[in-house]
Amino acid sequence: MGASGLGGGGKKSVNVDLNLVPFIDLLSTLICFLLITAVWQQINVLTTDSASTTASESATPPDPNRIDLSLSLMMDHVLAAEGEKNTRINHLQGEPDYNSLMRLLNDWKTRHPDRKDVTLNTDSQAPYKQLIRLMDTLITADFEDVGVNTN
Amino acid sequence: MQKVIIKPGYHIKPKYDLHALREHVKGDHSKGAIAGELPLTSMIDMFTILVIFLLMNFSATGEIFFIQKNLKLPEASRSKPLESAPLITVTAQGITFETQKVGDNPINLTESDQNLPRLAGALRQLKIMAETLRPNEPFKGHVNIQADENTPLVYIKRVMQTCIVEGWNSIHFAVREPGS
Repeated sequence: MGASGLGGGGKKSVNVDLNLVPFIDLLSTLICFLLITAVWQQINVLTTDSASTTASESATPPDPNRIDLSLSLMMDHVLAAEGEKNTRINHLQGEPDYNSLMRLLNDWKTRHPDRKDVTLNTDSQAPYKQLIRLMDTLITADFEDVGVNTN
Repeated sequence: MQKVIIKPGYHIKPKYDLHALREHVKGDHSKGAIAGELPLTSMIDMFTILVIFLLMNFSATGEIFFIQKNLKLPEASRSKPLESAPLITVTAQGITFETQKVGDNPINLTESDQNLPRLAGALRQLKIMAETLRPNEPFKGHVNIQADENTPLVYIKRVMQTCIVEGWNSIHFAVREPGS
């Protein structure tokens, strides 16, 4: 009867106005905090670790039958070396031919399924983005232990 | 009997006279209040949608340092989340360790430019501090490097060389996700 608040006559109405001021305060504070701490550009990392190579070399002598896998990034081509066998992959429109490189890396993976390590040599004048893209391609091809030659 | 002295009242009559406001200020509410209640529902709706959107984009990791305006990070799809570590920034102008400039990037590098003594000193000092603070833990040697995507690799490689010589072996290259 009195709960409806309609036609209650002398009874006090139960409909009350909700106080929205603290609610708006809370929302405003939350929005300010979230806007300040918002991540507009997600940054990730690619890692190269020289410690593991050094540690393994000091622990065990190098295997004489081990085939070295390496990529050399030059200004106009990429030289892929599987032991003594070299494969030259020319750049396409100034950028390395990542599709051909990916096919080659898949071949390497078929022949050396347990290998994860590849050494990456680079020309000093090559742009940084090509090094990152090559590292990304190697990780995609399941060669996760990429060592960058700094000489 | 005619009044001689008339009390002066409101006498400014602009073209668009806000008579309703004038009466409200005077306290005459007989013609109805002009200040109605502000409709807050739509504003709260907007606030709520904004809060939900920002909460969904919220991330506790991934942005722990500032990127300079003229610096565009390279893209990589198979990257890992960023960890907190000392930051080395390589730009065309120079090399910055955290916020301190520790080296220049001359156009033509000579043999003496390969050494970065100030960067080496800063890294050495930080390593000593880390080993002093945590004597029982092995030194991890994590360092983040951020550089513009078109930076020649010679500038990156000499920074890497300095890091490795000083025992900072785990080098992380800051990248952005494709399309971000």
